[in-house]
Formats: sequence, C-alpha cells, structure tokens
Amino acid sequence: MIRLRNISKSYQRPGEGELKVLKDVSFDVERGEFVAIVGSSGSGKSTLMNILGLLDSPDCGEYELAGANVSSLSASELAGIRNSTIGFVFQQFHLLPRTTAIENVELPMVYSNTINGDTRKKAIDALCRVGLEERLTHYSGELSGGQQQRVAIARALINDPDIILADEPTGNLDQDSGRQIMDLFRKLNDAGSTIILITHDPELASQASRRVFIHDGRLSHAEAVMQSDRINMAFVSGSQPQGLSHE
Amino acid sequence: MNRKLLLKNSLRIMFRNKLRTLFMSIGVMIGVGTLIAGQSLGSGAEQQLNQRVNKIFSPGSIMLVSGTLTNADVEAVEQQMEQVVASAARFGGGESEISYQGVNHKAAVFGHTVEGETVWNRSVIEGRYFTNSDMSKTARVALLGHRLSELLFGADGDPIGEEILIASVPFRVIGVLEPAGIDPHGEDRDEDIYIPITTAMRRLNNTEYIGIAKLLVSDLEQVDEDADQVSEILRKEHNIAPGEDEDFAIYSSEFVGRMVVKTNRVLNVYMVAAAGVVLLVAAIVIASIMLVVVRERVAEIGLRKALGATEQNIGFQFLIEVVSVTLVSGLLGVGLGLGAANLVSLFTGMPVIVTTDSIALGLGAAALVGIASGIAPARKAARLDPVEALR
Repeated sequence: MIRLRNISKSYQRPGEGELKVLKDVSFDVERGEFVAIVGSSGSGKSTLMNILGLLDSPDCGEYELAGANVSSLSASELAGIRNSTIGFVFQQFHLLPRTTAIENVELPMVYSNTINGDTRKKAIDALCRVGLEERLTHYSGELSGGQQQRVAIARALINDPDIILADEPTGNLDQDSGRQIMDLFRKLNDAGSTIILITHDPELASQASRRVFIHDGRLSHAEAVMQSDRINMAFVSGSQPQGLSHE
Repeated sequence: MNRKLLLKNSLRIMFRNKLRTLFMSIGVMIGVGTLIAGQSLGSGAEQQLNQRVNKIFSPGSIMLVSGTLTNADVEAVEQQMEQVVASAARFGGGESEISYQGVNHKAAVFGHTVEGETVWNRSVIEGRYFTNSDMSKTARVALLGHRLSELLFGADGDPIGEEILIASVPFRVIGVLEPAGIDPHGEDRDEDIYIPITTAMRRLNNTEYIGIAKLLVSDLEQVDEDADQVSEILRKEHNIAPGEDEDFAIYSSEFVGRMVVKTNRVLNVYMVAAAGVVLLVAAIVIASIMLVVVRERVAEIGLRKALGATEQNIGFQFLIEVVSVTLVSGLLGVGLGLGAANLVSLFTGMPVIVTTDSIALGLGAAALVGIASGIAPARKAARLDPVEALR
C-alpha cells in the first residue's frame, strides 16, 4: 500500500542553516494495517505525515502509494490522489464553521466531482458509521470536541480512501472522547481500513497493530505491538461500562 | 467544483460578515448607480434634444442657408436631383410689431410657401393654410402661433377673420398654427406669425433673396451624400471658383443630429469618468479586504487542499465569492441609479430612458470590478502551501 524508500527532507532555517528533518527514511505499510508512528515534537513525524499525505514533497527518495509512484506528479494530480486515496483526520478537527455535519462530510465529494443524488445518502451513512446519526444537521459549533472529530472521521471515510492518516486525533480531546475515537479507529481497521496514526504518545500508539518510532529524523526498527498487549488493551477498555454510550 | 455549491458557499460567506460585505458593496453600488443614472438621464436628454431638433431638421432633410439664395437656386437643385422629393423656401424670421385693437406684441414673422405646410412640418389647428392663390396675389393673410393668438385675442377669443397690423400693414388672420413648443435655441415657436412668402418678399421687404430653403430627400441613408451634391450645384449657380469660400451653408439632418448627440455625449463622458473613478477605488478597497479575508481563512484553505481541492478550485472559489458580492452590489446599484435618475427627473422634468444596454453596462462593470479585485486574493489563496496553512 505504502512504500517509502530513502526519503530525506530538509528545511532552510534563517540563521541556523539547513535543518535535516527526515534522514533516509524507508518504510512500508500493508493494506489493512493499523500503524502508529510515534515521536516527540521536533522528531520529524509531522513532516513524515505531510509527505505521506502528499501535502509536502521529499527532497529525494521514492514514494509509492497504492501501486503508483507519486514522487513526480503535478500539484493538481496530487490533489486528485489526496482526494481519492487519503482520508485526513487532524488534531484541530478542521471542520468548516457554520456548516452542518452533513455538509462537512460531503466536502471531499465536492472536489471529486461526484456530487449527485446519492451524495446526501453517502454522507448520512458515513455519519452513522461514526455514531452521529442524531447530529446530522447540527452545525460544527454545536458539537462537542469528540463529536467534531467523529464528523472529521466520517469526512475522511466518504470517498472510500485507501488509507486514513490521523495526526494526533485525540490531542484536543478529553480522555473519554479520546478513547472513543481510538475505539472507532480500531473498528474501522477491523472492517478493513488501513490506518496510520501519528502521535507523541507511545501508550496511545500501543493500540495500533504496529508501532514505528521516529527520532531525530530517523525511523527506529518497526516493532509489532505484542498481541497480548492488544488483548490486554481491549480487555481494559471493554471493562469500562461507560465507554461508548457516553455521548 | 459543483456550481450550485459554489454559489451557495458564496452567499453564505456574503451574509456571514455583513459589515464587511457592506464595505465591499458600497463603492460598487455608488459607482454603478452613477453609471446608470448618468446613462438614463443622458439617453433621456438625447431623446428630448433629438425630438426638438427633428421638428426643424426632420430626418432626411437638408437646409440651405444663404443671404444670396434665390428661388432659381432651389429650382436648379430640384431639377438636377431627382432624389429631392420636396422643397420649401422660408423667408425672414425677424421681429415686427404686431397689433390688434391697441394690443401690441413683438413676434417673429416668417414667409412660407404652400409646400411649407408639409416640408416644414407645421400645419394649422384652426382655419386654413396658405393656397396658391394667396401666393400669386401676394395676399395679406396671416397664420398665428397659438400663444400669440392668446396674447392678442385672449384665451377665448376667435382670431379667424380678424384684421391685425404687421409693421403697420393690415393682414387678415386665416388660421392658428399647431403648437411647436420651445426650439433648441430657447425661442417659443408658438409666438410666431406666418405670412405668404411672396407677400413677405415683395410687399414687405422688396427682395429676391429667400434666406432659407429646406429640401426633403428620398433616401434617409444618403442624406450626407445628397448634401454634398447640393453644395456642388450651388457652387455652380453662384459661380464660385474651386478653392473659393462658399456664400452659403448647408446643414443636413444627419449632420445636425450628430452634433447634438456629440454635445450631449460630452456631458455623459464626465458621468462615466466619475463612475469609473468610484469603481476603481471600490476595486482597491475590495482587493485589500479580500487579502485580509484570505489570511483569516488559511486553515479553511489548507483543509480544502488536503481534501483534494486543486489550486484552480481554491482560486475559483474566492473569485466567485468576490464576483457574487460585486454583482449583487451592481444590481442594487442599478436600482439606486434608477431611483436617483427618476428623482432628478421629478424635479427637472428631464425624461429618463432606461436601456438594457445601460443595465448590462452597469452589471458588466460590477463583474469586472469583482474579477479585477478578486484576482490577486484568489491567486494568493490558490498558491497557499497546505502545510503552512494547516499548521
């Protein structure tokens, strides 16, 4: 699904010279995987996420996404691939203000020119998948943080992307809402979605099926989360009865 | 991007920050309003002028003016040009003392021919016009403008058959002229008095020079060419060598119409220039407001790009947002301009003519302002780096 080979990226910083943010990063993600990229701030994880999401391009190296080499595509071709292949979930949710949940979810379809009679139904289906069937016509400002993030996830799902890129998706949420969002990701993963989670929190990352650590622009060896860890986590979250039915 | 959604989005943004939208609109409204008011009043004034001019210079007419013009000249022209369908000389126009039973009044006295009734386009509303017998007998008969008739005989008086004095010579009133109103020089043509041209030339002035003749030609499209031909014939008749100055002047209805329209257009140009300045300022204001708006909405732009919007999508969205505002402002400006024009009309009596052309011009100008002021902000938004925008 994703194949990065020898990706490097550096920025010019005034006064400090060149800053190497990513150094010779190679990295693979298989279809159906749930991978966490873990790193502290300044580790290069945001840059890696921007490159994975085709928002930024590497200085050198190769990037193959869903079988296509995307290193040498034009800006509008990249926009098309972002639209059809990648679903973004951001820390700040980034919903359009004064816009209903449905309209927010429909937004990617606006740019894939697939607005038609079924659009609304697809958007409603996506909102149902994230458990927001009661909040369809609420404006973004009327939703709680957790609900807003679920709208954002529904938006990420609407064009059936090959991967979901989630950048600190629980960073602006309280513990309960954060746990629900992670549960949702795991459910989506169980249903077949490929998910890449970017986080600074190793514990949160342990809910993924595989963790990759990034430090000072280099990936350390990728390590599969112990199967027992995951069972343990599932057990812990399952043991809390107030879990999902809270909102 | 879907057109309906684009429009919906633009309207939503328009109403989101009403004060800002107002600031963006006001210049366009005033500019377009000025344009529309100027055009509507200008067209009205043009029509009014044309109507007045047409009373004398009816379409397809040529006027010969000369102190040495004779009936022979006019006959020569008529004989040599078959496209001249009618002609009528007119004599005089100087003021004389008119009196009736001790009531005195000064009036312009014109000598007219029988053909004058149709060629000069003025008949009678009471009594009868001149006849050939009036001409041959140099009859002392007169036609009065209705204002002059009122001045001499009172509003209810019947002037027909009464005897009046023109420069102390007795004349019998045989009719009242149809109303003609104020001419382009500001003279009240309803205070004129007409007498047979033969009477005026021989009896009152003893001259063979007629002063003015009006020709009607058959082809309205050929008036200018016909006027040139008349000029050639008159040069021969008057023995004017090539290069020598003419002792006559020729005005075609086309020429006079163009002059009148030109004079009126000059006034219009000032209005258009004023509107242009206002719209230019409006465009600058809108562009600077929109640049701030783009800065405010970087997160939205970044998100849209992440979701798959191309640079063109983003640029087009902002351009449409600006053009929607200016077009709606333009529509309001059209209303404002028409209101202002009608208000001016109410107080001055100037006619207002609204043409689809002027409305199209106003809306076109509004759209142009939108495009011109929207391009820079739209480009800035389109080229925003999504990584920076989402930070």
